[in-house]
Amino acid sequence: MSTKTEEISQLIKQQLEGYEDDLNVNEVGIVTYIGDGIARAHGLNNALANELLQFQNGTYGMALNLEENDVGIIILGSYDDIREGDQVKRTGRIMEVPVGDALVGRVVNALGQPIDGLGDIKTDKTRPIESPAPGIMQRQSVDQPLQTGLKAVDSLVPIGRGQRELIIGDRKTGKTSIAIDTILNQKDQDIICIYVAIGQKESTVRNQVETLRRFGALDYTIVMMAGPSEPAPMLYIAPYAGTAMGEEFMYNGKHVLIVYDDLSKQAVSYREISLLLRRPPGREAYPGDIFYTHSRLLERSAKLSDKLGGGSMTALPIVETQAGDISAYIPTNVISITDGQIFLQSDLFYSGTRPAIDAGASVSRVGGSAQIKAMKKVSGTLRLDLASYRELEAFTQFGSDLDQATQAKLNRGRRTVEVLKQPLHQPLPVEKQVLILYALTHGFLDSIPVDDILRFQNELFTYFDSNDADLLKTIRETGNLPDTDKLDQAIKDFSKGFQPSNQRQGLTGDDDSEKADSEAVQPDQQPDVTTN
Amino acid sequence: MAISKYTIGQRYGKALFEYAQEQDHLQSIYDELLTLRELYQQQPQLGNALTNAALSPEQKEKIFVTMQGPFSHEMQSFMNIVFGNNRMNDLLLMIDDFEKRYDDAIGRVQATVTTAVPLTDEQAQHLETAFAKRIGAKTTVLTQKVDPSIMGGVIMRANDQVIDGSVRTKLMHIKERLTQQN
Repeated sequence: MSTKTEEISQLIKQQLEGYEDDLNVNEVGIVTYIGDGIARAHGLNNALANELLQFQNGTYGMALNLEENDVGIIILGSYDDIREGDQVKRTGRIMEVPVGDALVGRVVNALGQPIDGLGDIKTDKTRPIESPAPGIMQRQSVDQPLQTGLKAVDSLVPIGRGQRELIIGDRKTGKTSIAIDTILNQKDQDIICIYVAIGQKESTVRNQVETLRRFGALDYTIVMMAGPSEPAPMLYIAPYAGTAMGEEFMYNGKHVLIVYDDLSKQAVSYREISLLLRRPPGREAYPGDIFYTHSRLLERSAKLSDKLGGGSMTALPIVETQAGDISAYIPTNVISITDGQIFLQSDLFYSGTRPAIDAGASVSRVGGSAQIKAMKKVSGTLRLDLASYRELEAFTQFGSDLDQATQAKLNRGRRTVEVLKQPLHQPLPVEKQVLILYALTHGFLDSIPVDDILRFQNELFTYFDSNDADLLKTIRETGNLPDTDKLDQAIKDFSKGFQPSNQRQGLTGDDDSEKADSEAVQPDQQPDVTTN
Repeated sequence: MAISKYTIGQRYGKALFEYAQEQDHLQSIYDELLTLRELYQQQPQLGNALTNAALSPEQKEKIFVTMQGPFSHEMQSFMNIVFGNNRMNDLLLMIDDFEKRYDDAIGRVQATVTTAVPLTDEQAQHLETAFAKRIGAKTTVLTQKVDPSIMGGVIMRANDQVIDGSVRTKLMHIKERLTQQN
């Protein structure tokens, strides 16, 4: 027993090493207002902007407003037991979060504290949550692709490493799904993913985490969660904190993908804070610096020059629109900051086109140069095909006679839409995307009934995996299209053996397939216009 | 946006201080302000009563005149202005501001000292000179406070600066160190 006490005292002695018995000199203020996640304090004359302050109960706050007589503070944590008249002291530090490899695979809150019940995060590195974005000499242009695994994205709105691509759309149009699928597709790509959930329902985030875990994506992902039940300041700082974690990897030459889900909720919490701090409201009651809030955040995503290690941080901010209104304040702001947007439409979503990407309104301003050559070749005409299809589709509803060329265009358009559909959580490797898009743009699908396209695609992949794996390998490794004669031949060989469902089922096919078939075989048949 | 009460205190305090300086009545006005402050401290309801909308102007006037009586002519005119502007409830802040300016002018510092047991006169004397030296002031005026929960040591506070040498804080630091690494 005596040895044990000795051990303990030895331990305590070690821990107390370096403890200095010196006087604490602090600069303090007095809380004069408290509530709604913010506090005002009188005094603190020398406090710095964004300085971390500590309340008497140990909770931290951040000085946001420095005014003549008081300091406006956002409280980072619980404020139930802070009272008027309490002391607030300066810490001399600015807000920091833990960073480093230890965070990967963890679920943390906006302060970097673990909330997944897996114990402490063992890292001694921290980074300030606000830091200047890389300057022009520290960057280089985006030229490496970041494959999302979604045919519609990789072909129409390609994303490069270091790009900021906005995902925008109404509620329930699959915004988060695109982001999650993109994370799932980064497996073995040497990319660290950060998913910042801002104001998302805790149950939803729980599901996302489970999805990531199920597909093995949590091994390279950090999930940051600032839930709707937390005070507004936590939601406001979450994206900055997440970015700081990403920067640590980026400046060490690694590649990072960060998803902000979603920035409209962050804007709303910043509006709340600003109004409570009595900053003057502007359009839609957002404060004057709401643009800066988002621009300084997204500017921190970059492709660094080779001198700095060539790391990158790709940002996928998500913004929710109300009834498809992209001309609201926050959407226009973020659209103008980012390098393009993926616009999701609820009409398309409900008509079964998923991902519900509106090809006309979606653009990628820099991703084109990051696309692999093979993909560039096969996707070149895709946008045009889709656009002319949409136009003709509207036109043919009036039931005029159509010439051969128009019919062919409609035919191709229908198949293009079908090919770009993709089920949830099934990202495709780029070589397979190229393969099916090649088959589409070279007319191999024109004779396949629309309803059979998905089955054709899957069987084509299986066929290539077992018979022509070398062709896929060429695309994957060189980025170029293989010998087109060989490719054509292989697809032809497969098509010969492919059985459309009407032939398989004979005349006993059910109504649905018959209708679809007839539509496919006779594309000039008009929809019933009398219902208009 | 409404002007903060501190800004009001500063405005009146500054005006009165500069006037007193010009007239060379700094000391006498300061003494009178201290009396006034004492009055407010004895009657905490006074400020509110004098600005209370529920009382009729006549009633307020009556209280005010009684209260104004013993002061000098200069003080009376100052109080008239404050009363006329309906700022009697902010009078304490004006006095605070005046005092701060007065202290700055004569190199004096107001400090609050918190201890677990009452200080002896000798200790207080010692603390006053030591503190004045540390902070770079000529003299220190100590306000003593006894708070047994700090266990021991001294906490000094002056002008938003706190020098904490209490046993409680030291124990808290040791506790932090011990719990952090486990």
